[in-house]
Order: sequence, then structure tokens, then C-alpha cells
Amino acid sequence: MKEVLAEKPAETLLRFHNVAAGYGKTAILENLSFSIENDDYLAIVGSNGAGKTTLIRTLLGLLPTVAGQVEFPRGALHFGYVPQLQSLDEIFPLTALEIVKMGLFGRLGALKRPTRAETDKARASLEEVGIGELENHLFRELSGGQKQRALIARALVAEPDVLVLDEHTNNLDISGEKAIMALVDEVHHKHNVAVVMVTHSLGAVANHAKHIGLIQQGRFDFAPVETVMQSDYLSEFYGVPMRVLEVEGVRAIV
Amino acid sequence: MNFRRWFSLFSLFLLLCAPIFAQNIEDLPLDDPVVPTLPSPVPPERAEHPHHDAEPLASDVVSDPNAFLWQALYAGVVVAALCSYLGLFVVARRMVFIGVALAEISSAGIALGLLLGFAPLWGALAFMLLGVTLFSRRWAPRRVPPDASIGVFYTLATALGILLIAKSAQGESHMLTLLRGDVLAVYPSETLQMALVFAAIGLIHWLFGKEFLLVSLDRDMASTLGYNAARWDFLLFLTIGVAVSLSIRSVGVLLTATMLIVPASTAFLLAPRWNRAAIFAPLLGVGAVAIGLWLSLLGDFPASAVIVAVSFAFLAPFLVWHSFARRA
Ligand SMILES: Nc1ncnc2c1ncn2[C@@H]1O[C@H](COP(=O)(O)OP(=O)(O)OP(=O)(O)O)[C@@H](O)[C@H]1O
Ligand SMILES: [Mg+2]
Repeated sequence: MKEVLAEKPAETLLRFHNVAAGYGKTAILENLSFSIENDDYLAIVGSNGAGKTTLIRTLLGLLPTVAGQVEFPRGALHFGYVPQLQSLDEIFPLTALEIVKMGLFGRLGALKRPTRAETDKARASLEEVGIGELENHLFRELSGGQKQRALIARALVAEPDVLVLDEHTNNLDISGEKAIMALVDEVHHKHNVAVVMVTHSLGAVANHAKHIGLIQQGRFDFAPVETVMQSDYLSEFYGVPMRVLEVEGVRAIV
Repeated sequence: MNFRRWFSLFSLFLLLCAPIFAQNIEDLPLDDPVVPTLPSPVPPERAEHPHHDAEPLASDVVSDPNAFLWQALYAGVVVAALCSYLGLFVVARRMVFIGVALAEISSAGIALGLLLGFAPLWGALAFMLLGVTLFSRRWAPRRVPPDASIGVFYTLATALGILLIAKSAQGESHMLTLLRGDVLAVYPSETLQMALVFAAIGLIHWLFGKEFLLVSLDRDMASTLGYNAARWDFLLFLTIGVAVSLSIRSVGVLLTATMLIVPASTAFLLAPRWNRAAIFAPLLGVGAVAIGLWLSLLGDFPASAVIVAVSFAFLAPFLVWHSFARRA
């Protein structure tokens, strides 16, 4: 699988060219310019209220751009969206398997119901994220980490071109966070899917992402992770002294 | 993306409704409700009723003192079967207040129809559409929470209904009965119309149940999967609105609101799975109507109120159980 990935020429899936993102006529972020390749792993990092969700929603086409346009050089994309956990209303008494099956609706179209084969596909997806045995449990009765896994399974089952995750490690303890990050890494390679991830913690993605987009007070800087993870770069961007240490190939910020 | 399909569906729906609306013009329910016409084509629910064989509704039915009760049962069953199911969406989407407000707004439309002398159903549907439009917009949500703006329209509609009745030529008390609806004063032709329209709505839900569930649960997900969430939402609201308008005209605000809220809540407590709740809710609604009518006959109580009480009696044990016993 990985060999195939390496041979495949880089292709641009999606391009922001001087896009302003925001609500109505009010731009929250301006002059956004970056692109996402087919084997990319982009982490968007910013503090609370910086505009991460706004950027993600613009990328997904859920929010019209204030100015400029998002281009899709290869044509329309299939997105697998893993929303912020609290955006899903848990009043609905649906099982993990039922939630995952919903990921198939887009390819199925209206009027058709999931067949047995599709149910099996949903089941396999739950297996893959490691919670196959929980398929008949109510979604609301899963733990935070299990819910995240179910939502990742739901996104994956549609065989997306881009997997988009919004603050998916919030409310997880450190081991839960590590396990989910490892799962995303695994999925990224195995499914050959580009990843766009939103987080407020640079440390969490420093050792996973290929590109990093930093957001701070309306400013957006997009660069390869090697560039971003330099003491000088970060100190300049945040205006406070920061140091990046590399221990046994693992980066940490102090 | 789904617009063409959606549009053809809506046209089909209107087409199904058209004969009903046309018929309605001559069918102003202003005459005395106790005169049943010939048993117009058999409502589907009739077949389900086990006792019906023993109760032929022939032309001599005028002299049958229980005829109105059978009519009440048919109407109640039709309303309960659909509204209890739609109630799953109303309850799970936290739209109970919208449902009740829509009911009140529709009834103001009925009052307008009665005042101006056109078919009340038109008034109810027009006001319902207005209501759906008003509620699909979010009014300054950052300064006034959504339930407050719904409440504003709710009180306004109630006041409007009262004003329209006060100015109406008919006797005020007679109008009030009509407005609040009375399950014991329904017209067979009304019930048949309702059964046909509700069958169409049921068909729409059978065909598009998964889309309605998807946009209800996760709008963003639906959009990223290529669905036009706003249109699906509108279609869902429309089916709920039409069901509410027709139910109001037939059985009144109280019973309609009850059927939208109580059986669905009971079903969620009884069977915490969507698919099972979708079976239990209509059963609970129909059961409450049947038992409630029977009890009201036995004790000579107002039918709607007894039905509400029975619905609550179904709900109460589960509510108590889940609130107290399971806390440990
Ligand atoms: N619907 C909206 N209309 C207008 N402004 C909004 C809306 N939603 C968010 N904003 C504003 O946009 C800004 C960015 O919000 P956004 O949700 O994108 O932040 P975020 O980086 O995702 O924050 P968090 O880490 O808390 O999730 C905030 O100042 C917020 O007030
Ligand atoms: Mg956010």
C-alpha cells in the first residue's frame, strides 16, 4: 500500500487562492492561500475562537466564502467529515452501526436503502477503527474515544478523498489522544486518504502532520511541518520565545 | 443536487392533495356535524379495526347513536398513527414548541377561513406555510434565544385566533368548538381526506426516512455527503406542517399536540432504538385514542381530555422508572 502511495504523483485536490472566510460579509480570516495534495496531512492549529471551525466549514463548502473561491482542480471531492463531538445530538437513539451506515447515504442516493453488503461494509469499518464489538451499542452510551472512533468509521465508510477532523481529540485523555492520532495515521496510509485536522494544540500534531497552518489573530501561515517546527519560526509567529526540541526523532515544544 | 427529484416529489404530493382541496370547497364544516353522509369510501384504518364487521355503517346510520363515536375513532386513529410517528422527529429535534406553535398558528388560519368564508383548510395550510417559513428563519438568535421568538409567534397566533373569532358572524362558542376541534364532531369526508393525505405523507417518509433522519441528526454531514440539507429539512417540516394542519381541523389543537409529543416520548423511553421507537410510537398513539374514547364513553367524559390522560398514563411509569429507579 505504502509503495503505491509513494509512486503516485502528487496531485492537487483543493486550492485556496486569496480566500476570505467568515460569516455574511464579515471576514474572520483573509488572504487564505494554500493547497492540499492527494497524500497530504494538514493540521490547522489555532487558539479558541481563532477561526479554525470557520476555515474547515469553508473548505467543506458548508459556508460560502466571503471573497475568492475554493478551487477543485480534480473535480468535486468526497469529504469524510468528523465533526466536533458536541455537534451530534445524542437524543437520537441510534447504534454505532446505524451511525456508521449513514456515511454510505451519499453514495447510495435518495430512495435506496443500505443492502446487506453495505451493512457489512459499515461493520468492517467499525472493526477497522477497533470497536467492532460495540456495533449494537447506542452511540450515546459509548465513551468519548469510542465515539470518535465511530465517527471516524462513519467518515471512512464513504471512501473519502479527504478526511476532515475538527478537534477530534478534545476531551480525550493523553493515552486516548495518542491512540486516536495513531489510528488517523494508519488510516491515512492504508486508505490513501488526505487528512485535514483541526486542533488547538501544536504539540499534538507536530509529529504527524506534513503541513501546518497556524492561525493567530486573523493571520494564517501555511508551511511544511519542518519549517514550522523551528524555534525561530514559532517565536516570530507567536511573538513569544519558544523552543523546539527533537528527542529521538520526536518533536516537542517548550 | 437532489432538487429535481425533490421538486417532482413535491408536485406528486400536491397532485395527491389536489382532489382533496377541490372537494373541500363544498365541504365547509359549518353544517351540523352529526349528519353523517353515506359511508364514503372506506378509510384504510377501518379494516384494521376488529369490531368493525359488527358495525355496518349503512345509510340508516343517522339513527345509530354510536356512529359519531366510530367516526371519532377513525379520525383519532388516523391522526394518532401519523402524528405519533412524526412526533419522533419533533421530540428528538427539540421542536416540541415549534410543533405546538404550528398547531396554534394553523388554527388561527382556520379562524380566518371561517371569518372570510373560505374553506378553513386553506387557511390552516396557508398559515402553516407561513409558520414553517417563520420558524425556519432564525430571528436574531444571538440576542433572543430561538424558543423566545417561537413563543412570540405562538402567543401572537393565539391572540389572532381569538380576534378573528370575535369578529366572526357565527356564534362565538360554536366557533370556539370548531377551532379547538372536537374528536366527537368529525366529518367522515374530512377523515377520508385526512387518511389520503396522511397516506401520501407516510409514503414520503417510507421513501425518504433515511434522508430525514440524516438531516435531523447531522446537517453538516448531510451537506458534505452532497445532500441539500435545507431542502430536505423543508420537506420534513412541510410533512409535519400539513399533518398538523389537517389534524387540527379534525381533532383540535390539544389532541394534535398530545399526539406529536407524548407517544414519541414514551416510545423513546420504552425502546431506545430509533427503528423500534418508530413502531411503538404509532401503536401507543392509536392505543391511547382507542382506550381514551372507550373510557370517555363509559364515564361520559370529554373525549380529548381522556385521550390525553391515557397517553400520559402510558408515559408516566417509564418516566418514573427512568428518572428514579435507574439513577443508581
Ligand atoms: N455563526 C456565526 N456567525 C458569526 N460569527 C461567528 C459564527 N460562528 C463563529 N463566529 C465567530 O467566528 C470566530 C471564529 O470562530 P470559530 O468557531 O471558527 O473558532 P474556532 O477556532 O473553531 O474556536 P474553537 O477552538 O473554540 O472551536 C469567533 O470569533 C466567533 O465569534
Ligand atoms: Mg471550533
